Amino acid sequence: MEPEFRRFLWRYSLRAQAKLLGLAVASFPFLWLYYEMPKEIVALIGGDMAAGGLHLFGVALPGTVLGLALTPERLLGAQCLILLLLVAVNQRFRYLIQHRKIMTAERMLRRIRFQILGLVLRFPQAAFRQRTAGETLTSMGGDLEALCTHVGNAVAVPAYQGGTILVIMTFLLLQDPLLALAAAVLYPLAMIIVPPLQRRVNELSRRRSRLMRGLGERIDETFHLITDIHANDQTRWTRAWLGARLGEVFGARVAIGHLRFTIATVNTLVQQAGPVLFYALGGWLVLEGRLDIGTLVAVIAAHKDMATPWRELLEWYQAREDARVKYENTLRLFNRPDLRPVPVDVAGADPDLRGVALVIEDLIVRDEDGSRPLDRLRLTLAPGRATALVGPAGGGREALVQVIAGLIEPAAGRISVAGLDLATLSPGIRNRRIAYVAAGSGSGLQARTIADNLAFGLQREPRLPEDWIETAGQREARLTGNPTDPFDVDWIDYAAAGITDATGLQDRMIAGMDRLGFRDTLFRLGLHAPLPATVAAGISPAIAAIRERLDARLTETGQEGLIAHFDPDAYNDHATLAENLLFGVAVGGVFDVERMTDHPFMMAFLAECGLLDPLRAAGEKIAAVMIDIFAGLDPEHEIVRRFALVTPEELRRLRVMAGLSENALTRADRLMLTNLPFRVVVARHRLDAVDAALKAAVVAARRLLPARMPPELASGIAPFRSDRINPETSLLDNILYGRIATDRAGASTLVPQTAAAVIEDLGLGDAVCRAGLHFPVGVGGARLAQGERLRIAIARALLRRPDVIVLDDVLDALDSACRNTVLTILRELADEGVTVIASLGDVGHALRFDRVITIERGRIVRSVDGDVK
Amino acid sequence: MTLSDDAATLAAVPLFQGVDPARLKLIAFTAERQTVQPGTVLVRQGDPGDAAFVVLSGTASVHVDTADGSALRIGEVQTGILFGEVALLAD
Repeated sequence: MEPEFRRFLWRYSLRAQAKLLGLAVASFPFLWLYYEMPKEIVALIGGDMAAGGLHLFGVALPGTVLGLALTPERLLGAQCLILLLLVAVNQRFRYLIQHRKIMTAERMLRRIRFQILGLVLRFPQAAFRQRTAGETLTSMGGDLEALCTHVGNAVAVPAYQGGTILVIMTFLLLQDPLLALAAAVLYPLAMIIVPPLQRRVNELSRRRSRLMRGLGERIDETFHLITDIHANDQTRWTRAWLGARLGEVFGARVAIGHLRFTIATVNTLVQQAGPVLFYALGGWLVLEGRLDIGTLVAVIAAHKDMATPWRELLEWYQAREDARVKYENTLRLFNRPDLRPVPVDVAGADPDLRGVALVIEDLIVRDEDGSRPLDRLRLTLAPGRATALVGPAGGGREALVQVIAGLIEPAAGRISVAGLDLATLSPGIRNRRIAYVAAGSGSGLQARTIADNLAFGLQREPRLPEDWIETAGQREARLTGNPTDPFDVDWIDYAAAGITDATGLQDRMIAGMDRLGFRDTLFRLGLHAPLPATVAAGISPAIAAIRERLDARLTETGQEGLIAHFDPDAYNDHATLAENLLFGVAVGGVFDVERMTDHPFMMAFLAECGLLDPLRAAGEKIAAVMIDIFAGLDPEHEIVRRFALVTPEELRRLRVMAGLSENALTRADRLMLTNLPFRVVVARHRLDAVDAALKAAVVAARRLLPARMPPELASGIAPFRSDRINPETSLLDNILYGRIATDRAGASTLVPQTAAAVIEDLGLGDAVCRAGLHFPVGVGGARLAQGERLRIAIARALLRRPDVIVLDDVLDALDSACRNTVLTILRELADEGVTVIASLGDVGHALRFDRVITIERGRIVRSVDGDVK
Repeated sequence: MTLSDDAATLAAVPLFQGVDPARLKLIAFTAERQTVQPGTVLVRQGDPGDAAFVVLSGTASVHVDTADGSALRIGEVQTGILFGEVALLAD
């Protein structure tokens, strides 16, 4: 980043500023004409032109123009037309200037934000321990926006407003030099008083943003420590402490507010004292007979006109100072002296690390506090061998594996491979050759699908189609120093994984996950998660066959009633009333199944089918039962939340409604009752509210619905169809074409189990696993268990076929079954010539390693060859 | 097979004697009503208890694993009898 705001501004916006200046200058003649025009019109109407003949802007006009005799009326028409035209032209200029200002400011914002994020990506590991994401986000928010708005104004405002002042001053000078001098003196007075105040404001602003960042940091910490705060009952202290931080921010803000008002007061005083001075000085001149009264009035008016541009200029000056301070703050925060080198995409030396020894020579790693996690460590890691690094936590093994993985830079010494310093390799090459998996911070998952996370290490460069044309988005990105790499194309380096295409990749993913004991999970996710479109096409032809087999198998074992199939002509007791009516699932938020009557079409349709009254009656029954069985319980009670058919808010209202007469009910109350039955599943809720007559009416309405449904609403329902895939529901739901009969003992486990068996029999297991690969793992992989996340992290590293694999505390974090599998895999890799390095806390897990090295206080204290134990 | 019927069945269970009828309805509402195929094992000896059962109709038999591995039939559960609650309460 540029070290100074001024240089940042000019370097990246010089052209834009020049254009803005050009626009401002070009607009002045038209502005002048616009101010001049009324004078011309007044001159014409006032009869001033009668004597000298008709003229426009001081140019005498001929008697006839284009064959038309020029009368005062016609000239007036022409003048008004010109005025109108000038209004349009001025507006156009204003639009152009504003548009360019916005573009300049926003491009600058995008650029600086990207520069900051680029710097963050280059932070050393230690920096992430000191800084939180919340703090970074705050620094990238409002402050930068204000800064970049100023970039947009940097030239435009002084050019435009300064120009205006210049014009007015010229006018004043032409009227009376003495008065002009008086007017000119007053405003600079403000310029003397205001800057020191402004400097004080800047200082306070700096303090305020420092405090806010600190507060953000503390809030971040509170989020992370919330369990500890409650477990240790530190809420009172935490509250006091947060309150004290807010107090500091309060102090700074109040001081800034007061100072800002003081500045505003000085400005107002200057502006309003001006006329007084003019009355005194100008009045004296008039009395002396050296000035006529009309000029004085004009001068006072002109001086008043000067107020706005002056204020704008002053504000601009303040904003400039502000922007400078903010830029310096941002720079201090992000432009650390210990940034890692700029990543380069160009390939340098690309040595094959397989079958080559890693030689660690006198490695020293220094912490930010000066201690040495590694102290002149010497070690040769032979290729094709599995080495375990053990020792106490903080003894140095963690630092060693991080240096090998290129995550931290050593203070001295080096790691060499075949005479080449590992540090001289470009990070890209190095991390292709060396895979690193950590149990803690290094195994995080992105909020994407399992497949995306597995391919994380393989995304190397975008594969652009041959006929790729630069998009508008890419052009804009180039203008703001952002990367032009398109983000939504295929980035996968298939060759690195030893395959040729996406299908091969998925097969390898499934095989890899199978090896790590994850296949069952993948299968389960594939069966239960919404069906991804890419997979639906592959498996849909087989769905009918699976369904048939599943039914046959259940019948064979005498369990035919476990699935309640959908039937267009019958009510399904295991589906909600809403699903029964729509004969499908509501999607895309067109219909709210909890509040069906909210949609005008549905309201009219229910009325047409005569369903409103029976629904209302059923709703009243449900309400009565709910009030009855949850009587005496607080609506927020856990039991209500877990079991009631109504929400706590609804229950509260129902209780009130029970005491009201029909007339006292609001329209919302009545609709609530009408809407209640839609969520009822007859077999589960056993409320006796949805009786045979209502069921029959619902089925009758269902038959009528497709004919009545406006075509634009049809997309709001994903219909149940035995012959077609319903992409909004899971694969299992599609196979069932019905609901599992929950009133049959064991049905909820037996049906998926049998379905799984049938699918495997038909050889479609991998297809379901492929669907499972498309399961979105949630933020940080929250939808998976810790062990599952770790398995994905390991599979991801293995998928890249690295030459060196580094496991940091991974073996300790795995369950024993998976650990054994991973150890077997590591053994196989070592036999293939891969250098395997595992750092672990429990020496008991260091089974089947060729060498076990104990590191304590940054040095090797013991090295044992062969399988310990 | 409505909630009131289920609540009436529960009222006859000795453990629920004296429980407020509204509460019995709540218990019935939160419970599941299930049809069980003949031969289904509902609870296995030694499994952790996660449910108690009331027989609404039919019978269930109780077996104990003996030392030699065979199962010994020791009794029958009739309609209106609650079972499985001991494991539930003890765990």
